[in-house]
Order: sequence, then C-alpha cells, then structure tokens
Amino acid sequence: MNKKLYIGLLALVLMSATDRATMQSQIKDTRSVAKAMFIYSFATLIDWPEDYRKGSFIIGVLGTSNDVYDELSVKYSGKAIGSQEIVVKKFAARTDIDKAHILFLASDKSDQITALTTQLKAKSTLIVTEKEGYLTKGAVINFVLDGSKQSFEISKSNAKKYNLVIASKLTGLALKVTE
Amino acid sequence: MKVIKHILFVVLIASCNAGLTQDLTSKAHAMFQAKNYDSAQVWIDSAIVTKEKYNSQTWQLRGLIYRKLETPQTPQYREVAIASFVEARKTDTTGIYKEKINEYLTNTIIRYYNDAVTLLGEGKYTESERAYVTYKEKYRALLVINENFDARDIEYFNALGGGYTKQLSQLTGKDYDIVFSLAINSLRKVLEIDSMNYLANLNTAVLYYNKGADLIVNQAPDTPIEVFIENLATSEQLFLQALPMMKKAFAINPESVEVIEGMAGIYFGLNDDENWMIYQTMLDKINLPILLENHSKDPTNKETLKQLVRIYSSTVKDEAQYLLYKSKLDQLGG
Repeated sequence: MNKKLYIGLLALVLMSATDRATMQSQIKDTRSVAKAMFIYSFATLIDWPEDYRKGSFIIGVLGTSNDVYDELSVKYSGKAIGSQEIVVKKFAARTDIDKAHILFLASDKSDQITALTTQLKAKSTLIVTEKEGYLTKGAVINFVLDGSKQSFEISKSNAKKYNLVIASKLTGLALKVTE
Repeated sequence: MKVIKHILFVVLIASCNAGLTQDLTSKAHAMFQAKNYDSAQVWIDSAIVTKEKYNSQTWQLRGLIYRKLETPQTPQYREVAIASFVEARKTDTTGIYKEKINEYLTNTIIRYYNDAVTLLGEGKYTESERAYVTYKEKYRALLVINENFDARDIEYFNALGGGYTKQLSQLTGKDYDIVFSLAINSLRKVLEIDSMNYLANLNTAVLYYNKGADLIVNQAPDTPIEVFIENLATSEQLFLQALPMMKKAFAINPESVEVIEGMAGIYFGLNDDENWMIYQTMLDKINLPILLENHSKDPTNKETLKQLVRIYSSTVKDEAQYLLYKSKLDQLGG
C-alpha cells in the first residue's frame, strides 16, 4: 500500500473519530434532580406528628412545570419513609391540596405562599419553596444557592408552627438556619 | 519453510567458498523481482556477510525485501528494514542514493503512523498512541531531527481524545475515571500546541460538563444527603472547569449548535439563570423552525408541543403562540 492511500485512510479514520469526539452535550436537568433528592432527604430527616405517621407519605408539587414532579415520581414513588409508602402528587390548584407531608411550591406559583400558609395553618405540611426570602413568608425550607450550587435554608420557628421536628443533621447541613 | 531456507543457506555458503560472492545481491534481486521474497531474504542475508556489505545497494535491497516480508506475525522485519536502509545510507559514501534511501525510510517509518491510525479505528487506543510515538521518534531520529509534528499531533490527539470519550459511555467507577483522564490528557496535548483549537476546547468542556452533570443525574436516589452535597460541590468545580473552554469554543464558532447548547448546559448547571437564558434563547431560536416542522408532521407529539409551549412562554415570548400550543397540549392531556 502506498503512502497516499494510507494518508487517505488516515483522513477517513480521523474524520470518523473526530466526529465521535464531537459529543452531544445535551442539557441535563441537574436542578430538578438536586431538588427532588433534597426533598426526599427532608422526608427522612424530619419527624411528623403521630397522626401523619399512618397511610401514604404524600409529597405534593404545586407548580406549572413538571420537572421536579417527574423526578420525584420516577425516582421516589413507592419508596418508603418508615412504614409509609411515598405517593407523589401534582396539584393543579392550591385548593386541591388536602393532606400532604411535604409540599413543594415551585417558583412559578410562589405568589400563592400567603394563601397557602393560611390554608395549611392547622396542618403539618412541610412547605418547601424556591424563592429568595420565603422563609419570612412561611416556608419551612427554602431552596437557595450557595455560590452556584444548590443548597437550602431552614426556619425552625416555622417548623414549630407545623409541629415538625427537624433532625440536627439536617440543620447542620443547611446554608442558613433561622430560629 | 525453515528447512528450505537452511538448504539455500548451505548452498550459498558453498557458493561463497567457490568465490561467487559478487553474485549474491544480484541473486537476491532476481528473487525479489520474481516476488520470491523468502529466497531473496536468504540471498541478501548472505550478501551482507561478504564484501558486498560495502555496497549501499545491497542494504537498500535488504530493506526492501524485509519490508515485503513484514507481516503481523513478523513485525520485527520492519525494524530490520529500517536498520538496512540506515546502513544503506552509511555505505552510500558519495550520497548518490541519499534521496532514494530517505524515501524508502519515510515509506517504512510511516507504517508506524498507519498502525496508529488502524489501531485507533479498532479502539486499541494505548497501542495506537505507542505506535504514533514510535513514528515520531523514528522520523526525528532517522529523517528530520526538527520535524514539526504540530499539525499531525493536533489531528491525532483530537481523534484519540474522541476515541477515549466514546469509550466513556460504557464505563463506570474507577474505569471511567481512568479513561476520563486519558481523554483529558489527549485533548490537553492539543491545547498545549494550540490553545484555541476548536475541537479540543469543545470536547474538553463537554467532558467536564458531562462528568459534572452525570455525577448528579446518575446517583442513586437514596444517596445520603451529606454525600450528595459533596457531589454537588464536585459538580460545581467540573462545570467551572468546563466553562472557560466552552467560552473559547464559542468565541471560535459562535454559530455552532453544540457549543450554544454546551454554554446553556454549563450555565444551567451553575444555576446562573441570567447567562443560561442568553444561550437557551439562542438555542431555542435555532430549534424553533425544526420543532414547528416536526409539529406539522406529527401534531400529536406531546414532547414537541411541550417544547413549543416552553419556548413561547419563556425564551421567544409570544402570548398568542403560547396559548395556541398550550391548548393543543391540554387537548392531548398535557
């Protein structure tokens, strides 16, 4: 085989190899995965009152986007918190919410926080938000950024209002804890 | 075959003793022309232990014979061929064969390069790199000491990095980490030569991005929270390593969809909404006509409709279009 032919071969091989090298950098939804993972961890590190320790363990999502809901459904539906099986629900409207152990209020519905806290006043629902300053509006846990990575802050006083007991391990991992 | 060679060798020795040594190279040449390379080998190996060893043509012929004899089972013959051509050059005291011998050497040494390419195609990356390094070493040692390999290095190591990257999709754990490092190192060699090389910047950035994103996306659902938080920090570092390289790729080729997608992905991973929206908008503007065409072909495809709803409500805002596709999506049950 002569040199020219080999160089031709090289061009072909390199072309296909560099073709492969041009990897598809499809955007991966790291945010929803992180939020769903945190929400599941909250479920394992918080104690609910006695009357919430029976039946299904309900994680609700109120929001337009399905990303966090889908992630929770796919990865955590059917898993257990103690003896309770996790059921993930997506609520179309705030008024649909009856009983939930955790309610994730997505940012696109965050304007409902005041009405929601009023609605859930007598219940033991862990309200999780993703909007700056929302601990002051009644959320127990609020997703915030630590630099450019996902973190969370906790309001102990709001947790008390809902009769929720937060494990010290969880408060120790929070970016900020307000009393 | 060995027996035949042995008999021929005995005949040769007898011939030499009879004072016929001047004919050995000619006999080898005749066998070579008749494509009887085994016999040619015996004659030429006899020639080099006689006074014919002072003849450059004897060594040239030997190189050519051994080159013909090289097979995957006898790779050592390539080295014999190269050593013969080197000897041919030494014995060419007047330099009349210099050009020809160098051509022989070039065409023999390039076989290492060809090996590197073939092995690359076969996915034998370690062996491929070894062959490529040998090619360069031989070329510099025997042909042009100051040969500039930059262009070939860029082409080769980009391809090698791509090869390693292709392997990554099938690996996990330590194996993944090892091959990841090999891919990064290959691409780094390109960047050391040309820091603005488009492909090396893009692929290095994507490697870091994918590693960071996969660390989050692929972890077990019940990973302990403290481990998960550590992984988030590691991912952040990987995204930050990806960013400057993706920026360079964008500076070189701002219209590349994969670069725009890479920029959007990195900023999304870094929770930088402001910058993410810039690149996501670019990406959506490029993808919108394709999505609309897909929708016209398959109006019941929910994924296409979801994308259209997202785009018209976020990056390419259009209330009327948003409502149109939202109602279509709702009719299909969201």
